[in-house]
Amino acid sequence: MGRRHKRLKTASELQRLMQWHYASLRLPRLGRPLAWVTSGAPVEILRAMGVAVAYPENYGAICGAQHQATALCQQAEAEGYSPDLCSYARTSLGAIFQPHAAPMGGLPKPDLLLACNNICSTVVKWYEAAADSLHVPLFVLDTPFIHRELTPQMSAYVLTQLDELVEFVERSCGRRLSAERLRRVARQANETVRLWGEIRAMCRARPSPLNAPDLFVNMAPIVVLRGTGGAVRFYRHLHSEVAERVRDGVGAVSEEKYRLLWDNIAIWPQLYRFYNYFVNYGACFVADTYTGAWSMEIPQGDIMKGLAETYASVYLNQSLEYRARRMIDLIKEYDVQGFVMHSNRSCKPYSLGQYAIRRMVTQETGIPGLVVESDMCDERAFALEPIRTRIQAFVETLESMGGSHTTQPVVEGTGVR
Amino acid sequence: MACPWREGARRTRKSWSDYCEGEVTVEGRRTTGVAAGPPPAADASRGLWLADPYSDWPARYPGRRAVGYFCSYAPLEILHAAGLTPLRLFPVEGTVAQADAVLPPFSCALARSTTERLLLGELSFVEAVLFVHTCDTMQCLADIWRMAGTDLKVINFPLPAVLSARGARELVQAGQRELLRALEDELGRHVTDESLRASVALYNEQRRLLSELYAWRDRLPALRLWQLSMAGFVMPVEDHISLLQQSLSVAAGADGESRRGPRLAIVGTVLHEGSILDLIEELGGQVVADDLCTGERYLQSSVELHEDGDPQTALVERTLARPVCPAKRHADRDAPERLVRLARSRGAQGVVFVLPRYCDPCGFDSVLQRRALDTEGIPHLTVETELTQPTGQLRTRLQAFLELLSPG
Repeated sequence: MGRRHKRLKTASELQRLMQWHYASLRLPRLGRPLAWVTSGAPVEILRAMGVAVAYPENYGAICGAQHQATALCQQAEAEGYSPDLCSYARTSLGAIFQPHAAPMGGLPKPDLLLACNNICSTVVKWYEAAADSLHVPLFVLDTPFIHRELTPQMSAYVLTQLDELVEFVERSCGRRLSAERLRRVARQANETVRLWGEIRAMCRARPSPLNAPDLFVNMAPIVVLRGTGGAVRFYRHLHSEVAERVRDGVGAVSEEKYRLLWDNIAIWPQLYRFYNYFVNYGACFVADTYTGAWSMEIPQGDIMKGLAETYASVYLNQSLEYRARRMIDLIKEYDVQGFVMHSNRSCKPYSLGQYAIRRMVTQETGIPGLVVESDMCDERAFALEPIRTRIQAFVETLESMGGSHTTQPVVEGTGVR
Repeated sequence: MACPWREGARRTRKSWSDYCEGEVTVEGRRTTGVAAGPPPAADASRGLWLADPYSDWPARYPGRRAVGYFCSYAPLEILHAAGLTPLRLFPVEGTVAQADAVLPPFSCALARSTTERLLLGELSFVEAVLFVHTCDTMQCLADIWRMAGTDLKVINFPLPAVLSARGARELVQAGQRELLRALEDELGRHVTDESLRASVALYNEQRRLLSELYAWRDRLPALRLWQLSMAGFVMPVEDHISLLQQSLSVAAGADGESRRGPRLAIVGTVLHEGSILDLIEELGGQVVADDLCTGERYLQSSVELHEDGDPQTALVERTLARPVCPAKRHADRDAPERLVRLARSRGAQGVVFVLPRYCDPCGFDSVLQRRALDTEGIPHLTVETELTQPTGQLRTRLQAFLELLSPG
């Protein structure tokens, strides 16, 4: 196990925090309504209105990691949902149809649903389906996709809808928005974002204190507990532990040889196993495009306007060129020698443009990129042997490039697709 | 460049415009009218006349400047008023090879097939492509095409995902203004109020004629109606209007032979291949309604432009009022309800879903729609399509479905 995953001391604190979160959803909420929200929804508004929140995407990831997602997907398929549809959606709908077969008995029934399409359009259809089954009202916040830039008309459109959202929550559960509470929640959200940003930035150190599975596991609170004191406390502790690792020169991977960049959502059922194939070669994922997606601070000043702009500009709501440029920045900042893209059958907005991104990134940086086709939750899409072969070929390419990217010529197509 | 399939197709088929215009008239005069049966040319039933409306497009319409588009929400009137000829991009049967290096295998046929065409350089005559924001695939495709290294200009149109959202009207308005600016800045095309009014009138006339033709579904073979609709997306609107007028006069002269057999509604998105319609009729069914963006979703509702009204505002209103695409949401008009209403109002006894594989919006909508149909006691059949349709199995399934609907 010497080279394998190194457990963080804060791991048990994380586990307790998440367990508490899921347990608290089942406690009597004394009249507090519960909302199911998408990972990119402006949750600050709901929290400031005293609405408790649950994240079906996070629940899907948990089911995936516990090898429970595929069976739930099959439940959704039995109800007519195609296996080609998003596996978070199928997992969540499967858990609605058969809660007794789902981990934790599924998520508790919500009073309202909030979907924001800044991460994908699937959430709109998925939440429509959930609203239909659960007979609860749904609000869809529409954030126009940014092909070039966020125009004033686009921000105005989102801002108008935020007002509409507040009215929707007032109407459907009689809650009022407290400006003071909104400021406090936004402050705490920013504090979490700052800490998480710094934690990720510490991975610039050699060796990197964290590897991709650490980032993936530890991102949970920034999503589901965004804007809460509990999240701030947890990230303070994680921050000091990671800083300690950097100070002591402790790497997530012993004898770090290759520094890699990860693109797309994790393959949850194979989280440790998959990354360990890389660890075996001394390869560490020091950065990724996914766990940074929640690292945007709400600007000071008019909070609603700040929320509108922040949520409209999240990573996945921006053009492929923007994403390629971000990857190029990460490659430079983190001194990365190769990147691996998970072509995720469940996530078209993240995956369809990966070849275009790979081409641009490789052209500009000269470093090779590997595309691995799989799925974030549905284990039927994970083909072990071809993936291992490709990883091996990729690492051989890295080896042949001598581990340094700065002097290499532009290489496109590394023999691995 | 060599594509054996297409070479072969080119040798054996007539020019599709010849086929389409000539045949409707000739057959109408020669026989008892268009209701006489499916078109004689066997290749038509396989859709070969539409096999490739693109490669000889510039030769067919010399002097015309084409602007590509995918989605029936595209404001064709504005493109036309800019002196451009809107040309809709459809999937075309054939091998996809180049596009596989650009798109993962779980992309829909529309994305893969059109990208193949782009990468083969077959769209080089197109001045620009307008991407209206619809689904995740189109959203990615717009960027992929812009980054593909061709000369093609990509213009984006930010259509709201929630058409009932507060502020949706203003966003469409802003999108139209942006489009006008892009046409001016990037293509040097200026749109005047007058030219826009004229284009609005032209497209209203086209939709009116199409609606008239659709009202005669019982006299017109479904495949013919499909061909006449599809032709409108790949030919200049002026030519299409003449074609429709011709077809209408033929249909008017035809005997109003009423069809028998189970009445079906077809639901889907782009129906890029019409042979299933022919098959339905061959097996004794009839198509009485559709919810397709190459069918009734395109032609329903016109642009209400009054004498002193603003054409741009009128266009916005139509965008918000027209039938809703599965990729869009309208809080007061949900998909299952719309379908049940459509089926009931047309007396459809059954519904056939023709769904492109990997189309997420259709994939989700169809589940709720099927459930609503079950509640209403309306039987349904789902056919999944990729680039080609599975013929043998489809025939058997349709046969069984129609038997189920036939009395006795």
